Amino acid sequence: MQGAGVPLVLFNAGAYRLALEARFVTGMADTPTAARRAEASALLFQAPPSSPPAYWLTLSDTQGTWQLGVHHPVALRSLAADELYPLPPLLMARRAHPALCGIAFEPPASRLLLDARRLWIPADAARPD
Amino acid sequence: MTANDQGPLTLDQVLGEYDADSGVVDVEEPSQQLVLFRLGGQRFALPGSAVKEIISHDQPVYFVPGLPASTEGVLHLRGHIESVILPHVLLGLEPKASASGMILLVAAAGIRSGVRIEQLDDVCDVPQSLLKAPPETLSETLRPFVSALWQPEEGAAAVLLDPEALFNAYQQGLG
Repeated sequence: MQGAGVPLVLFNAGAYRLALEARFVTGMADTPTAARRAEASALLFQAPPSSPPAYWLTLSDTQGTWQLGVHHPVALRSLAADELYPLPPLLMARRAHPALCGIAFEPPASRLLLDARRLWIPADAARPD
Repeated sequence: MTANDQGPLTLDQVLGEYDADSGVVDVEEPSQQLVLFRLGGQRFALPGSAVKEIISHDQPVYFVPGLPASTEGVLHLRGHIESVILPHVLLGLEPKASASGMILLVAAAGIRSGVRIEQLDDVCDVPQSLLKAPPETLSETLRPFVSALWQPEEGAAAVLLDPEALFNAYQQGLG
């Protein structure tokens, strides 16, 4: 798989650096328009948003379209497959939300990879897995 | 050398008999390798067979949000990532403010993970006969994770931890 890349939408949620597979993101807006929406920090970490979301990413699931509020900077970038790693088993067992699925290294920091298909799930449904 | 009425000996006979006479009898008693370290100022040990690597304290550990405080993060080691956990809470010890000690890469229960320690003391072979059953006075919190106690001739006793019990408990949401 070396050389192959995965197109990702990179964004921040408060202080955290996150990424979603680009194929699941159908749009981006400055203001929320969908009835179903959530701010990323609140959805994933039960953390109150430090500031209002800068953008709203449009995603869809079996219940229809919904929007995820995110912070700057937002970018579309392809990361090489060999830069992406699944969460180790002990962390998989203790993650706060079932959408947390992997890590990308961008020294000196890391970026958390999210499974868009498992995002709209209450955090307390993450355990047991 | 045995007498030989049949004639002169051959070199093979002479050397073969010498080898048979010089066989070494193994009288060493069974021993277990222990990795001795400190956590919360107390002395602990893990079986050497479970410790795959001792990782330097300056290896970067990346914070991962959305995990309990007993998870320090992940480290990137030769193309693989490994979790790093802080076992203090699980063992009923005071959490340490700074993560400055080494990391033991431990494999047990089909899982591999880094375990942050405060200080590496020694790696040594200990005769099995010196490993005693955990005492009744051991705290309720610690007891499920202890497989034996080793009291060396000098110094404090070391509590031998069961890495499988540690990882299983962590996976089940303890610590």
